[in-house]
Amino acid sequence: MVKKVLLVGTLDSKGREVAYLGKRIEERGWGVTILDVGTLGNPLCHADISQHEVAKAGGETLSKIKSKGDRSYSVEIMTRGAIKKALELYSRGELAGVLAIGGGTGTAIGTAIMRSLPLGIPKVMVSTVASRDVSHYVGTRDITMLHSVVDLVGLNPITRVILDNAAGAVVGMAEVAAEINPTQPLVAATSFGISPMSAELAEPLLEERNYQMVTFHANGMGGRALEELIDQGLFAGVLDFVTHELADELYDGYCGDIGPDRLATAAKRGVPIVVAPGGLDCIVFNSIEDVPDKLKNRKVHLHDIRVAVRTSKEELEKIALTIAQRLANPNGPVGILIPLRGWSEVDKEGADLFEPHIDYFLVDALKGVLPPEVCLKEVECHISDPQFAQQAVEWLDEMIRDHR
Amino acid sequence: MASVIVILVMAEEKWQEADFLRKEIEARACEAVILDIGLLGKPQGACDITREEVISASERNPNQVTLITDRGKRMPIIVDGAIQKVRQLYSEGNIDGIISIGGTTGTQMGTSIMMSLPFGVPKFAVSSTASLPGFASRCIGTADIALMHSVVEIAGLNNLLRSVLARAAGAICAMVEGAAKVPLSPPGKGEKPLIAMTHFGPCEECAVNVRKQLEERGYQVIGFSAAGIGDRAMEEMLEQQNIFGAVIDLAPGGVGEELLGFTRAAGPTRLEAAGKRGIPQVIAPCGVNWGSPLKRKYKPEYELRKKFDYDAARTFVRLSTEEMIMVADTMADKLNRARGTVKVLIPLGGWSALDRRGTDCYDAELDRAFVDELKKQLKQDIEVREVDADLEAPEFAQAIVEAFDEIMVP
Repeated sequence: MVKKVLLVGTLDSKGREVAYLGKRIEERGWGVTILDVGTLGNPLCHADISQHEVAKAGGETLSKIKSKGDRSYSVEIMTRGAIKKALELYSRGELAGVLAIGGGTGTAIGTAIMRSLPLGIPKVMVSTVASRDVSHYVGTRDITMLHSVVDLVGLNPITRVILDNAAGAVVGMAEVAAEINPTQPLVAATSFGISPMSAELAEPLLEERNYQMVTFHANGMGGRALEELIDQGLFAGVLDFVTHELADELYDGYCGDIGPDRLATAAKRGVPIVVAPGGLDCIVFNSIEDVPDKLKNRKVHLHDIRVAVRTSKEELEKIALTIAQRLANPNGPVGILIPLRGWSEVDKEGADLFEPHIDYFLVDALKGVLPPEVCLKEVECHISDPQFAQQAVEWLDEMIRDHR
Repeated sequence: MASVIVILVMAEEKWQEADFLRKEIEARACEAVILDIGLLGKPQGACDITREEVISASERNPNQVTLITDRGKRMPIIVDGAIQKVRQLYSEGNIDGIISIGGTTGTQMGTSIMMSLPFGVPKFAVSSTASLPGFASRCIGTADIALMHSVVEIAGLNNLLRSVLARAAGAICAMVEGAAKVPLSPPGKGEKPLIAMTHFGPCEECAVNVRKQLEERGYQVIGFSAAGIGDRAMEEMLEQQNIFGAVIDLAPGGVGEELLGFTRAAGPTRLEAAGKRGIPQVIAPCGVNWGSPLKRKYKPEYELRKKFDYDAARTFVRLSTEEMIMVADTMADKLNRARGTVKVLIPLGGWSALDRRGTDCYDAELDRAFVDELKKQLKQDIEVREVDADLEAPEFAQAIVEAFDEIMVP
């Protein structure tokens, strides 16, 4: 079966533009499948998957959607139906990539389809709202947002430039045989701005042992992406050096909003994991104004505009409880490795937040609450010491080999 | 001649990844030029345009720059120098597309540099922080940049990152290959000029109606959404590229939003570019009597005003008499400086779908205060025409088209 580019839009308003995109893609040697997510008027161009089929796949007839006249309901049905159709194409091996165009609503539907597809499938969203907040559209996926600058109404010299670029982008991506087919097992690691060098130091050590390392920036979104890809079964093991997001999540720092699965997926899926307390020495705020009054008397470290506030005994105890809950009933080996001489670049000998005796309250608390299957080890060094990375890599390697 | 693609990278951190990108680009028969936008630290490998060249292009004294060890203070110098380099390449015809790779800092610098290239030159940013809340607004602004989320960190050439970078290379090469080699130009002889038109949800019917009639007359209408970004982009395009024959500004509410510090603020120069170029304009007041302040910044008195919940994210608040007068003064001042014909059309039956005559939000007295002040302040040769209909009524669209026909008479 030949792979084609899936083209998505509301054909009642953007039919001419979609038809133009289809023509441009075909000129470059790729077939297209046009999917209509419009519900208001009649399509202005031919659809390979009609609005009727999409509505039906979403569990409703088009006439019922129309008679109800409820915008958010029709968006919900059409999104569900379009996702179903896209996944069918993908599972039959017929999907070369997805290209969608739209304003606010079209972007919501288009990116929802893209988020349902795995990493590696080309995803290009031409959007009038690409320069607003796109975090909920892009989420944890490899989506390319192309800002349309002008409204996508009518074919004129300006919209044509945008549409040509969009067709180029998706074709160029589709031409890359981008199947993620690891020749070596992958190990996921987390890193962070003020954080430890652990990931950097671990990389050559992992390579010696024939692993490839993939790093995630633990800033809220990165942690979510890590958990999703662990769940897709991409990794042989995880070195979760930076668990700082837990502190920000619990105490309203800026790397919060990590979802309930952060730290939990590997243990649940039985993927070997070594966890370290990187960055748990602080809660980070976007600016000094964002620091809550009750934390204002704490020790702070001024990063750029961001501010790191020292965590307290009580906070570390609560974090310990969260760690224990998320690692409960593991289906694979779980280790916690704690360096006793500091957890970040601001928590080391001579730095603003260096307080190893406070850090130790986390260890004490963990010992009381960790499930029996989870093994905790202490190391007399700083988290950025080569010795720490060495021990973490050796431990994980051992777990992976024993677990096979 | 092979197309040239410039790679912007902080070479002290991500040279290896840029080098991979270079090879992927070269495999597609394009030429790649690595431009180092690094701040501190030594580049990990050789760059085609070195940091020293970038610094010297910024016209700062390299010896003094060497002494600056603060990343934040180095950023503007590097961005400035890189913009000079990139513009020079463009003017020599030596740049067909541009791509950056980076995290927060690298992407912010990279996209600021890309913005200095004209609309239409393919621009692609691969970023590990693309989906952070608010990040895209800071980086993209009004530019035609494609922003790709790398999902994983751009650190170390693992298979995941390779797949992302290879797709990015494919995308930028194919964009360059398919891009029109002819820059945007004013329509040729015998062709009707391009018309720029702002619109906004609550004047959609009017916009559709006007567009249809203009297209029937053979004009091409370029729509800009007046939500603070699109209307700003229109001003920039009017300023930089001489391609429009007239402006139909249905929704100039961004002027007042800017004045009052609300969310649809369209910059201090909104409503000025067309006048500066002498391009004729027809102005309607859709949204001018509404403001969209952030809910958390509401003043207590806003609670007493008439409001309209447009959707989950947007609530509009009616402006007060004082605010309306202030906005009228500012608009008059801007329009008085216009070198081309200006006609202002006011619908007496309400200025948008939200405040039609007969609805709760219609307030003829408030609207009148604006019109009286505007008339008082405008130069005599700017006509203010009142139409006894609401803005969304076919009669008003008809009046706009008539006014348009008048300003297009040479």
